[in-house]
Amino acid sequence: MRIQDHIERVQAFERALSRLDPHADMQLYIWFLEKAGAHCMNAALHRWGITPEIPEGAEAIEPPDENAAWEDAAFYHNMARAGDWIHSRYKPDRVKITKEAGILLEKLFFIEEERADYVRGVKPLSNEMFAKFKNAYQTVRAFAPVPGEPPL
Amino acid sequence: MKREDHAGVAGRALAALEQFSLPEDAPVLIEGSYVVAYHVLNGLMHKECALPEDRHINSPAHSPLSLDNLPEAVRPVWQAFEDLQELRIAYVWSPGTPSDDLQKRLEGLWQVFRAANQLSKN
Repeated sequence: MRIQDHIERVQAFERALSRLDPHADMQLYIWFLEKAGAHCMNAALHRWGITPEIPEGAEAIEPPDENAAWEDAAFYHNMARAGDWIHSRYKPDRVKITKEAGILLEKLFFIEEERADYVRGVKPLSNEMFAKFKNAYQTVRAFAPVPGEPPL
Repeated sequence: MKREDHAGVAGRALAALEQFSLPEDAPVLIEGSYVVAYHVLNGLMHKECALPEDRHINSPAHSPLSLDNLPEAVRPVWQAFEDLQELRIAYVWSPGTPSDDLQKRLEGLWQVFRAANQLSKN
C-alpha cells in the first residue's frame, strides 16, 4: 500500500485506542496496538526505500503456516515481491536493514511476541507490562511519518 | 484457556466494538472481529470436545483442519472466520475503501459469533 494508506490505518487504530480501556478491553487494546505498529512499520520501510509502496490492487501476503514461513520457497518469493509485511518476523532474509529499521523491527517484534498472553489469554495486564507495550509502540511510531502525538 | 473465559472475552469485545462505525472504523471493526472470532471459535471447539483447553487455533488459515472434519456446531463459525480473513485482506491490507455491503457482511458475521458464543456458554 502507499504510505498514506498505512497512516490512515494507524490513525483509525489510534482513535480506537483512545476510546478503549487498556485493562477492561485488554484483548482488543493490545491487538489494535500491534496492528497500528505493523502499519507504522510499513510506512517507515516505504519512506526509507527498504520496501516499495504498492499501488492499488496489490495485497500483503501471509504464509499459510506461520511456523513454516521461512522454509516455504513460494511464500519467500512472494513476500520478496510484496510491498507490505504483516509481521516484523516476515522480513525476507535478503532485505538489507539499516540501524534505524533494526530498532523499529526489534520493538515491533517485542509487541508481537508478548501480545499472545494478553490477546489470546486472560493474563492481567500489569502497569509495568502496559508501560513496556507503550514504550515499544512509541518507538515504532516515531520512525513513521504519522502526524500528531500517540493517544496512549 | 477455558471455554467460559473465551465466551467472556468474546462477549466483552463484541460489546466494545459497538461504539465504532463504518466507513471510518473499517480496519478497527474487522481486526476487532478477528479477536472475537478467535475466542468464539476456540470456546466452541472446547465445548464440542474437538480441541482440549490447553490447545488453540489461531485462525482457519493457520490450521490443518478443514470444514469437513469439524463438528456441525462449529462450521458456521469457521466459515465466518474465513470470510473475515477475506475482509482483512480486502480492507486492512489493501488500499480499497469499504464497499456499501461491508456493514451487512460484518453484521452477518457478528450474528454468527453471538449465536455461537451463546451456545458455548450453555
